[in-house]
Amino acid sequence: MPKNKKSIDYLFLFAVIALSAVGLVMVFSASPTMAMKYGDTFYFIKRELFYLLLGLLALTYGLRLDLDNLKNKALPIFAFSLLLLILVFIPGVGRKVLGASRWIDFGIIQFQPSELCKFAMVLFLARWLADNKAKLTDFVRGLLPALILFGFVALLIMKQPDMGTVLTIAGTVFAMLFAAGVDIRHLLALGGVGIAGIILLSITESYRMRRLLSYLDPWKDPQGSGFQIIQSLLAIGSGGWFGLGLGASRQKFFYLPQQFTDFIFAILCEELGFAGGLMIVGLFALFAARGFRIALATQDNFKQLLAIGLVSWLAVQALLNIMVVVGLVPTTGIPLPFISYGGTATIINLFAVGVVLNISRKP
Amino acid sequence: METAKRTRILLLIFLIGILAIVIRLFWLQVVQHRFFQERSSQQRMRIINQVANRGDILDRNGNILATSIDTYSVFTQTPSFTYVARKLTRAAAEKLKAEKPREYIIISEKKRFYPKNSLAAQLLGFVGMDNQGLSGIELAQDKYLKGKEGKVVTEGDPSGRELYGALRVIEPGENGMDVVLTIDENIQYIAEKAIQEQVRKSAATSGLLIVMNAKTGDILALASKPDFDPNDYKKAGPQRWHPRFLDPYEPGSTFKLITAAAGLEEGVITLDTKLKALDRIEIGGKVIENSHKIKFGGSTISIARMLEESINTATVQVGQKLGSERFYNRIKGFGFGDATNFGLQGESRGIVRYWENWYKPDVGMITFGQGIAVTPLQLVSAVSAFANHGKMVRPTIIKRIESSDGRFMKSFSGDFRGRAVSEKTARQLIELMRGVVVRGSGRRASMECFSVGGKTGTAQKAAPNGRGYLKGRFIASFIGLAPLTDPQLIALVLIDDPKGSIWGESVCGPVFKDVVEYSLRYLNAKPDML
Repeated sequence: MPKNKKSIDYLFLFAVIALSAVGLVMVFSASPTMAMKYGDTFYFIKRELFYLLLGLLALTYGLRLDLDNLKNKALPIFAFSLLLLILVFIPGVGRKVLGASRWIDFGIIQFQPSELCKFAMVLFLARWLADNKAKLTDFVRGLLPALILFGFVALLIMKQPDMGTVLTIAGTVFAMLFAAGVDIRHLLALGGVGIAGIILLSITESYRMRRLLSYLDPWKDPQGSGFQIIQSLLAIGSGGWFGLGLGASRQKFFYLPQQFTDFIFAILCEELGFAGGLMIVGLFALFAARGFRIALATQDNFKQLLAIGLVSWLAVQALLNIMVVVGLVPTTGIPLPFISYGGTATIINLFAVGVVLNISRKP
Repeated sequence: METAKRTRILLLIFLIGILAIVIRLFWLQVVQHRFFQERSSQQRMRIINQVANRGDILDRNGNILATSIDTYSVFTQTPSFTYVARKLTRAAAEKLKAEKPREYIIISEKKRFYPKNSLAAQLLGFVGMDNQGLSGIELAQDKYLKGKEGKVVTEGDPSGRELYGALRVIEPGENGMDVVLTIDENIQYIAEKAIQEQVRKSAATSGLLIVMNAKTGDILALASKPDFDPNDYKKAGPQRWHPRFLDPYEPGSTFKLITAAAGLEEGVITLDTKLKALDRIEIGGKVIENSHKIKFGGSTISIARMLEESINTATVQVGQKLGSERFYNRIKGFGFGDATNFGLQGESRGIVRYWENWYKPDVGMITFGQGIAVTPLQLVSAVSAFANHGKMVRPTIIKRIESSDGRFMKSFSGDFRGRAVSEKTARQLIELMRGVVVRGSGRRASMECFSVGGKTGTAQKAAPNGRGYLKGRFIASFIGLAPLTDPQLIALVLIDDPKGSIWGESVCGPVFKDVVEYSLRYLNAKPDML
């Protein structure tokens, strides 16, 4: 393997740093209303700053990591993340918030295993696809094991329940399989089955059904199921070309729920307008374009698939989050990478970025 | 290479997604901007009403009769805004809040307070829970007292709290104005005490006492008993809330003053005219008798004696001399049948039928105040003509309406209602009224240092259905003025349905004396008798 060291992809890094900086500013603007309930205006900002520092350490760590070693440990890491996923259901270890078991309580820190799982899944799948390249066109021997793996993970996360993460992982796996060279016809069939599965899941769970219906006509129940999406649209729409100005959001005063987590993009659009929204999607486009470019510059099959997987994951999640917030797809809870407030996500996202930058340095 | 191609396809799909978002954002933020902006500002809009302070009601010397004090109300917002209790003391409100500290919220609210309790209660009236005037001056002058509610249009969060940095549009309100009454709280107090005492002594249904400045029409006291405490008006009932001085009654013999004035003014009688004091006289098929047991047996008497002894059969002859039309016109000339507009709502106009509609005995009956109904204030106003050279003053209860900063001022009082009789007739009536108190039925109204003139009345009570009279039920009254050399005060005392003695002379005369004598001394009037 050629060991010619290159410099990292600065444009890719720029996109991530810019998004994170905007994210910090937006959390600064959108969280104090809620933070007041904890008696400290800066409650969430202090934490976000701390997570961001840890995230930068994680990024540096990812950048310096021996990728061959990482490849070798793909299975244990994946197994460990599965174990954590199971732990969230154990009373006393897992913590239930708003009816969802997503957290493991370490006392001072709450850890969200599904975030780690996304990374572990990509890592493991990249290795498995690289190792079994020859078999991929064979449905039973090539594709099926990958699907069973995904199905198992999806089932565990679905149980939390966290459909947003399942959809993100599904999109990521799909992108990796596609890039790795799986037969298009197999993928199309899979896609069909997947969409059927989503519909089936939606109509079997009443809250998902309500979300789906309110997506079709949010104004039908503006105080109930349509409330969040309507408040989101009101925030975005009232922003206009250039927004109400930084910090001037009105919807953040408890009109829009999850104003600094899943729906932070709406507050951003309200304060910074169409120009601000354009800037964010532009940065994500730059992130995806540079990310895939890094992948394409790599000769090593594993690294290439790893880069494609990590970039796809973050890009798919961003796309899904924004489409939910602007009302293009039904509401499903998922944070916006680099922007939304979050502990585990911030750290692991930046670690993933570190790994991609690592690949850009040693293609 | 296959992977490279497929990766570019992935990027393309992603960029298509981004493009969809950009189009959607353009649609929401640029095309539909107005719609969303209006919807969101609409849902944030909160209107906070700023209650204006209600004006005070003061007596003529600035003593407070009605004011507003701070109280504390407790409300809850679960599930929706509801008062738990209103207008408590601070301590009581805090005690209540302690029961559910997270749920109950205390706000301050103004409560109407009447520091003199029942003093002038029927006149002042009272207000409802939201400080809206419901009766009396509180109702009649509500538009001045209540002021203008201010408004703050601001932005609120879903639980109603004002947003930090909210855009505010303030429409300032205006506090209510103070209403200054013509009442003098000291005279009012004395009058109420005296009338209450007489109502008790006579076991009467009710009593009324009006003291008016004879020259200006300022009503100095308007006492009506029994009444109520406006601080706790619900304890009493509409019967006691109602200002009885607004209602008409049959004036009885006090109306003989008007009959005499009409006869003198029309020239059908003079002070020298001799009339026959009959024991009974028939008019229009109805037999009229005198109310006294004394038999005059057809002896010859003067007009003065007619009033002093209150002889019905003699006044009937004056009525016969006048005839219905002239008598009616004179009665109207004294303002009977027209509201005095003294400043309170709901004032009766009295009942004065047009002369063509009179029954045959009416021209005789009305001479001694039956078959006609007047309000106490109409009678007081009519008698004021004798004190003012023939011109009647308009009774007035409101002296001034003023804003607390003195910007707005509206003055009343000192208004004349027109001429009732000539100066000569007025002078003659003063002398006739003096005779009633010096020699006649009004002796018990006479005072030590002031000369007094007046007329008693003992009217049968008209049946509520308008047919005939209630047997054995009377309204005793006395109207008088003093001092006669320069009349300062006119007062009317009414006792409704006294038991035992029924005569205006004995029931009302002493009350008049006590209250008016006190008032004249209190007002530093110059004594005219020694």
